[in-house]
Amino acid sequence: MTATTWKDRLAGRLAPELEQEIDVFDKQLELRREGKIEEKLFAETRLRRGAYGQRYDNGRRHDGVREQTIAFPSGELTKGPETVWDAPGMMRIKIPFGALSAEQLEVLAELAEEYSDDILHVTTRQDIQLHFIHIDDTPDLMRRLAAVGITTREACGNSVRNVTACPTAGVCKGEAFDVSPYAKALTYFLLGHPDTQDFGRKFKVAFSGCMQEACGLAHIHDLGLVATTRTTEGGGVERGFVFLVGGGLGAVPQQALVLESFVSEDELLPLSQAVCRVFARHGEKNNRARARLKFLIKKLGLEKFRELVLEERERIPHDERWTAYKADIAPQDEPLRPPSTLLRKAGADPVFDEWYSTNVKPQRQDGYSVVTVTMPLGDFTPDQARGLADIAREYTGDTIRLTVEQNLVLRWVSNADIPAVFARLQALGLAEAGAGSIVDVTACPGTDTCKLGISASRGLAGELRTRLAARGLQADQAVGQLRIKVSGCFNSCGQHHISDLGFLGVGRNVGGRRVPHFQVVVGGQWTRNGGAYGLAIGAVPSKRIPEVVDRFTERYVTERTKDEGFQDFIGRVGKKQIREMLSDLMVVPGYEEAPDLYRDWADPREYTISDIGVGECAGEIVSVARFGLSDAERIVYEAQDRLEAGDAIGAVEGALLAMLTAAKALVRVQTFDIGDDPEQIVSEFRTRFYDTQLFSDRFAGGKFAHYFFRLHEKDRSSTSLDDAHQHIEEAQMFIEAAYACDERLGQMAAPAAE
Amino acid sequence: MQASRISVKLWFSADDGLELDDFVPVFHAWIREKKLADEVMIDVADYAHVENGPGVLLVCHEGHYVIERHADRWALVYHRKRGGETDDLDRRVEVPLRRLAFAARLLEGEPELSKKVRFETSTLELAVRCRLHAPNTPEIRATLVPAIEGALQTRVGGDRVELEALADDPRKPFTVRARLPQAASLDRLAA
Repeated sequence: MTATTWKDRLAGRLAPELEQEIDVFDKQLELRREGKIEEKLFAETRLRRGAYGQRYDNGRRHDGVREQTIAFPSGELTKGPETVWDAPGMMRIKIPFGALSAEQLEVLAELAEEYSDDILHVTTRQDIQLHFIHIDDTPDLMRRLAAVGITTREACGNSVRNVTACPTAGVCKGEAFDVSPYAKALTYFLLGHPDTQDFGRKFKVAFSGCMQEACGLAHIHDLGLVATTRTTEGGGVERGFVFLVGGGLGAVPQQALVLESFVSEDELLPLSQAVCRVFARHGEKNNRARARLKFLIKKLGLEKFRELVLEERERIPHDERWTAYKADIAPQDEPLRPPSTLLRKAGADPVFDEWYSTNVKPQRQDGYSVVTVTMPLGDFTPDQARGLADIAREYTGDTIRLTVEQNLVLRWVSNADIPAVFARLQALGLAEAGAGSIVDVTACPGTDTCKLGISASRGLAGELRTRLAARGLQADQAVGQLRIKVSGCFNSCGQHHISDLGFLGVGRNVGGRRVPHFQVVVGGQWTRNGGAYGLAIGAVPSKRIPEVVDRFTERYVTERTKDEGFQDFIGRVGKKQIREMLSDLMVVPGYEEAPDLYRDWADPREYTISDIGVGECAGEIVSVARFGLSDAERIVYEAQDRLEAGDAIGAVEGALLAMLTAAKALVRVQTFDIGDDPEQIVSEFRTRFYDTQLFSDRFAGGKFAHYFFRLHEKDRSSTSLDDAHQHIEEAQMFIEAAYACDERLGQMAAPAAE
Repeated sequence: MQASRISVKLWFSADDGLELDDFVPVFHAWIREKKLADEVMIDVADYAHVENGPGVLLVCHEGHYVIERHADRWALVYHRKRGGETDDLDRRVEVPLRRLAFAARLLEGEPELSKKVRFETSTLELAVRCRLHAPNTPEIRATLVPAIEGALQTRVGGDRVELEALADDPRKPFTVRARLPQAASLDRLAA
């Protein structure tokens, strides 16, 4: 019989744990539609599955003249605070360390066609994003991804985000060693780990193969791991990592600090876990603006933070996975074709030569090169994705990596194949030169789709790309390698702090009207893993930013001393002079004189900030207990379904599982170290909550706890439907009592009102 | 066939000098003036920088209107995303086609466009973007082609429609190209 659902079609093809997670999420959607899950909890649930909001999902949009209500059919139903159910959202798809296979590319292409807008978008963290997705489509989308080994779990929300790594890990001439297997190990170790479920904010991890280049950007991450080696006493070489913590961009950028100068392979996972535990225990949860790890380290000081981390390290129960991953340290990919030499006469094809000079770099392994595929603004189509998959199958194998500069690299291209690969890329419309150059401007989504966007980062980036390419600046010796990055707001998703020329969206009020601006931030350091942050100079209207770029590039070319880098040049010229250079551009004429300044790039509407919505970058603060209790409720609803189907044993086991889940949720408030063993859960609950009377209700005393203990001890193998019904009712009362207990605990922990 | 994600495409010619960007203010104006009564209009997306990409989109709740320019050939596409769940194939074909034709008629008379556009209705392309119910296989093509032929013929008042299935890449959605009779004007298709 033909499958009528994707669940049926893909039966048996998903890893069981992935399938179960998606089934749970599907059920949560159903419960939310029925109003049985609270909207804030649902919002954090979907965020942790990568289902993000988009601009206008509050159902309002300014059309340039007035604000309009978008009459979505779903009416009052929401998928989060101020987030209408039917409003299109964004799906963030984690691609750990950017590694994609041909098959995965093909599935992503299908999803972009069926559920999205025919565009796959590469982000500045090596993710793929699909926009304009309906929440109802997300379970099937997740299933189809899971069938090819991709999970969207914890792509957003207060969780460990995508673990990134150098796109040339394993083939780079300068790396200490290939960090790919370590990035993979840490990704899957932390994914869904109990110690990462109670963060107050997101947590970002990056791996780098060396300290001197940019690629891993370890300095801007909460946890940055830079590969290093040391010589052992026996004369051997030991692999390890410089372990950096507390980096971050945003409104208050901070460089990561060295927690340990050498962490061995054996200690990489447990020490990372210990950092997570400290962040979960001690990190800020109420003030979202100060909840990143960098603020905790600042508050405690690095030494105290280290002390807490090492204490946690000692406390953590041993986990085999800490070292089991080392059995899989073998290279992550292998060449498809033998090494070779490129035999081509320079000058025979100027178009190829230009592309070759910017987009091809020799690998560490002789006879091979890395080819960068430039993706304008990180966007590519399903047909292009399928074409890239074909190229991979024919020339390189599954060695594709996404980059944080929103491009894609093909590794292990045998040198003699480079012209043929170029021709294939040309046929796909993906042979643009200038990768990593001044024309390769990167930008966050900004006002195109982000609820927090203030100015049109993509519109500006697109305009700059076009103008700079027209001037041929990518080939200029002085400015060709400058980096330009654009963020739509202070959250810095465009990573403007670490670029030579950075722009961050701000708004200004001029004569009672809003004018889109960008704050100019110059002199950041891209290399040395994002080694330094730029200076803010002042805000310039968005439409004048190309002039800003022209003035900087012209002045740099004219005035730089021999071989002077741009960062040094900026330091030498000084902020005062630079500001003077731009001061006339900062003066905004009245609307009648220059109406174009009052509109942003690629948007004919008069600029307004009224479309800025409630951001979801910070997720929702939902206690770990709440997640567990919500899960318990879901389980009891499923038990009811089994009862209705006449399955008494299934129903009573569901009732018990629901109570175990609720009990475990409460225990976790007091200790992270609680597993799934029912005996342990019952024992811990009895000791911590029943014997202490914390669980006692004012009127019912310990009655509801007795339901739990009795059912756990009971022989359930011959339960009748009536008994099962009663136990389900008792489970519901136990869960309600658990909610009340959690609330009481929260009130006990809250500071007393003045 | 249960699939409701049906896309339809009509090509148009334009005076010299027309650019994809010219359609951005047009679609914004349509939202402001609520020009598409059947649609909940949401936003405009500009992908002009992507070669052979979706160009400029008008994003609506039930579908997207897309202005494409591939190999210098202009087209308007309507991708139905939701709301078409019915067993009646004729209806599933009729609604996207009617909406496409309505939008095409609007564009032909659009005052915001500095250059005139003229739609050709001798050929249209129809795709079923649902690999669950309509994968691009010879078996599905054998079933769907005559069914869609019938649905289109109903739409154009019974005149013969010739269909050709595009089978170049089985990974792509099931797609047919239809030669329509001369009487298939935009008014007819939008009715």
